[in-house]
Amino acid sequence: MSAHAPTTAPAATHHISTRTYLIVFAWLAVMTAIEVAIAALPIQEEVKVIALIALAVVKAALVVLFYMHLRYDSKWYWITLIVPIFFVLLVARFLIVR
Amino acid sequence: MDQPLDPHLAEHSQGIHLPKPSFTPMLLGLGLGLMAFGALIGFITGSFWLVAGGVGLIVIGTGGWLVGNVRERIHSSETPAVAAKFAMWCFLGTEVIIFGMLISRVIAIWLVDREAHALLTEPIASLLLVSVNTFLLLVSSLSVVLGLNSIQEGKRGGLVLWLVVTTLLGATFVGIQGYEYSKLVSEGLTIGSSQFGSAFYLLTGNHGLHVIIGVIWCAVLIGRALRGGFTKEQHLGVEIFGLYWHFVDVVWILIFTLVYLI
Repeated sequence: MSAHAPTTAPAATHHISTRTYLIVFAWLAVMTAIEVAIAALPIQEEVKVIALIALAVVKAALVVLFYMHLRYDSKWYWITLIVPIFFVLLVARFLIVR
Repeated sequence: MDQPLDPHLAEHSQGIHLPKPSFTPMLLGLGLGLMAFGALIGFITGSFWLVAGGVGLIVIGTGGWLVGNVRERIHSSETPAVAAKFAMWCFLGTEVIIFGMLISRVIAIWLVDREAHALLTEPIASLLLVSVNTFLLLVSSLSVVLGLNSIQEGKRGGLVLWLVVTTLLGATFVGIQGYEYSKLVSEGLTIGSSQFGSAFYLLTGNHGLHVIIGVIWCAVLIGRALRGGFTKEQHLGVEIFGLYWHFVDVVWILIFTLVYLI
């Protein structure tokens, strides 16, 4: 074994097919194009805001679940994400809705 | 060295490995403090030399820490993969709070300062520029996972190729952001022009700094891969880097929508 490659537990990593990665990327690219189109279109402000936020959340979720492997990893990792998101939303609510 | 009597006992008697003492974290802390203090003084006096000094200490501290860490990993047994990944997720959790606060602040300000916010999206060419940057980061996330797949299949050349692509895309993102900054400054949106300007540059500058760190990290990984540092079985470093890079991508996805599009 190389000196640069110390022992690691291989079971902690996941092999996801290239096809899955490409499909996720295609969805991300399409949703980005839809976002730009929605932003440029003269549609009702409330509809625009809801649609754009929904698309951004779905895109972020796709990256976290598939590219960051959270869908396949230990459920404990969710805690490190959900707890700070809860606090951010709590503070953001007071910052933004004044 | 004492020879363990029982091989089974020896397996569990390695104890906890602690890294050697290092002054680099203190340099980093000092640099961060100096940078924050320098920024406060700078806004009053107009001179930002203390900020530059702080940034210098941060670079030296971070670089020294990085080099020490790489040496440590070469000469000692590695942290278990699960622990390393959990540590990275915990770090990303703290980043969620930092970026969440910065994004919230920008939104809270542009809700009352629509004129400054309009500079980001009008003319439409500005929006297209940021859209291109968004696309570049999405492609760079794809290139990272393709690199991970390559090394998982034992293809070291593929890993190097995709990491090079990631580095180039990240560097291009930073270049385009620099160009966008120059345009915004010429249109009157500076860090001191308004509360929105201050919040906007703090958020996007912080993100850009993360991209720069990612580009440097990726370049280090390329060097390690070229020296045979990753194999089909041992590629934790690539996966940990991937977590960081994808997180930076996720943050940009949110910034793009919440700051530029809405």
